Amino acid sequence: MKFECGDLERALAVSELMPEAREHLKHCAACRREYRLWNEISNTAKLLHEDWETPDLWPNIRKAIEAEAQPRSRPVWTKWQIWAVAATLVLAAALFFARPKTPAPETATSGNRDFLTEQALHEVEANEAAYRRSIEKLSQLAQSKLKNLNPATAVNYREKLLMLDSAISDTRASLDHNRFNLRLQMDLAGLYREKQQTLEELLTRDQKN
Amino acid sequence: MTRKIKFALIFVFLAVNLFAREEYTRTFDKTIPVSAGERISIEHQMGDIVIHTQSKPEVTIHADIRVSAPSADEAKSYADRIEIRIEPSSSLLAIRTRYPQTRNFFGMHNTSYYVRYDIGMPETCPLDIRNSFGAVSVAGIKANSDIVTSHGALDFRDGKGTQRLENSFAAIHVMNNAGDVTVEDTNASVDVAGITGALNLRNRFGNVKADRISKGVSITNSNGSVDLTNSGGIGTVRNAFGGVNVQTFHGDLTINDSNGKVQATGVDGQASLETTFGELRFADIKQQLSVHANNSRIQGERVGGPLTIQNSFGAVTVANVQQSVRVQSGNGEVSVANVHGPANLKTSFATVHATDVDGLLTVENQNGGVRAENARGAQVVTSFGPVILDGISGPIQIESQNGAVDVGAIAKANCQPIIIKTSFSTLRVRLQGEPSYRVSARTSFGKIRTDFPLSVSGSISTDSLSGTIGSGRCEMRLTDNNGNVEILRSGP
Repeated sequence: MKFECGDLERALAVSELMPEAREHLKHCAACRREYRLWNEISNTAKLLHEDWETPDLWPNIRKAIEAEAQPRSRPVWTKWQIWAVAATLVLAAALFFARPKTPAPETATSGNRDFLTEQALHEVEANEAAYRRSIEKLSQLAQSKLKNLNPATAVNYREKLLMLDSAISDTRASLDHNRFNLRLQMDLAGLYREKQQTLEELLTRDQKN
Repeated sequence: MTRKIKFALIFVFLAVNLFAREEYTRTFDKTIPVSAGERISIEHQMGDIVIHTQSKPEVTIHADIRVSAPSADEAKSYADRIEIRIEPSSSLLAIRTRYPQTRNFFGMHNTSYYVRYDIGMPETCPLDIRNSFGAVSVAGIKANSDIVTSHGALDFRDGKGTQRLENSFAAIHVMNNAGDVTVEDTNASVDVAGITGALNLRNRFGNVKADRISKGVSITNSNGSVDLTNSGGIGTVRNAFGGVNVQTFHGDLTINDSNGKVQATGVDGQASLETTFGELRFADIKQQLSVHANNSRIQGERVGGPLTIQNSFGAVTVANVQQSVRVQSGNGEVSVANVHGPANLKTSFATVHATDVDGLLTVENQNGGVRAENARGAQVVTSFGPVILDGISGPIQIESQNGAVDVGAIAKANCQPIIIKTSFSTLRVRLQGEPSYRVSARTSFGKIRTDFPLSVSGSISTDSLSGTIGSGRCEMRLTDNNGNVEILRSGP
């Protein structure tokens, strides 16, 4: 049998296939990433198991999933079980957010990924907020520095910062209607990066001169 | 894998599904016949536009419409509502993109989208494009165009006609156009090459490169470098807070910069270079060159016409000038060499050094020394610094204060008067060959000495002397205070 990427999931379930899988992993970076992800999930799941208060949880979850596939008249979970599953979901989501980024499969219409996933958007928005706060701090530091520069240089920096703020504002306004658009997010990140560089250049200006 | 782990994995993927999004793509294709010269107008945003030309008298529009939404149905529904309006009229074909509202039931904008165009059009149709948040690429158009975009690269190539290209926050790249081009950008790089017409370019906070512009260049930038190469016509470059580098320009060139380094090499016509607080270099300027600078170090060579330099607080070094040199500096060293004409040099608090001046050397200095070798005469005024001249083959006039004077004069057939005045230091004149002077030398608190036989006239003392050397054809007047006066023989 010629082992292919699609066989990896089966090999994880059928231990006899693992030698071939390991051989394949030596040469396939994508499968190695996939395998590492499965291992991480598996390890984390073990940890989750140790945290539960009762050994009946997993059988109950299984029953619940099986029951979901069939029509049922009323919920069978107790309150604490629901909370436990919710906690599982949160942890699972966290796991997913932290997973290594793998490129999306190419489609006929696009060679690159054009939209963010929900998870990626959450990460980006969280990072952007943190980034923005950092830049705000830099901006405050820069204000006092601007007062000490010669007028022409200060006007130049002010103009550039105003222009960047205007561009950031435009891009954020567009993103407000198109949040998952990867290009817009990258544009915004680029503008923030440029503002950061400008502020850093301004703040280190005396040291350079 | 244990059963429990399997269930954990199932939950992980359930969680993933809760956050899943769906993407939907549809295409739009339409062909519209157009008449020759009919204007094509495209109004778009959120997506790239690619324009190519074709021989058929029609416009072919292909659009990829892509949408991402929480569900496949929502994605499809939104994609289906994106409108591409084609509005033909007698002289204009308008193509417009209209996006519906993306807000969902909860007021959230949960849908994302873009539309990418690929449009084929006859090359003779004028083109207008308005776009934002998308790149624009235009190739092969042989008519006028007006393209305005932002937040997306603008690429224009192989055109003919008058082109106006405007962008902000993204680069502009222009390659080959037969006709004038106007480019305006903000905060991004601009790269223009191969224009057989004039280029008018404005930018802010981005680097500019222009190459092979044949009929004149006007570049205005700020806070970004400017590189102009292999171009011609009338060239004007203005910049601030960024360097300017011009190489090989066939015509007159003006550079006006501040706070940036200026470099001009290989200018066929006249050149005027100006900067402050930045180094200024020039070479191979075929005609007249005028340099204005403040607080700049100036260095240049090979100028075909008269050279004028005004500077302050920076050294000036110039070599190989085919005509006159005039340098006015303040608090900066001045050094000129190999000048085929008169040299007029002025500075203060710094040294002046001139070598091989094929004309009269005039130096005005304060609190700085003067040194010169080989000139056709010298007029020097200085104070608190030595004056050392050698190989001067013309009239010599020196007025110094508190500085030694050492002058070597070469005897010529014509009269070379020597008039020197100084104080508090030695005054020495070295003469070659068979000199012929009417000497009047005077000092106080010093001695007068000469290597030449002197026919004394009038009274004689150690601090005052009048007489003739040789036949006494020219005047030599040497005045010192508190220093010796020496008239020495040097060389053959």
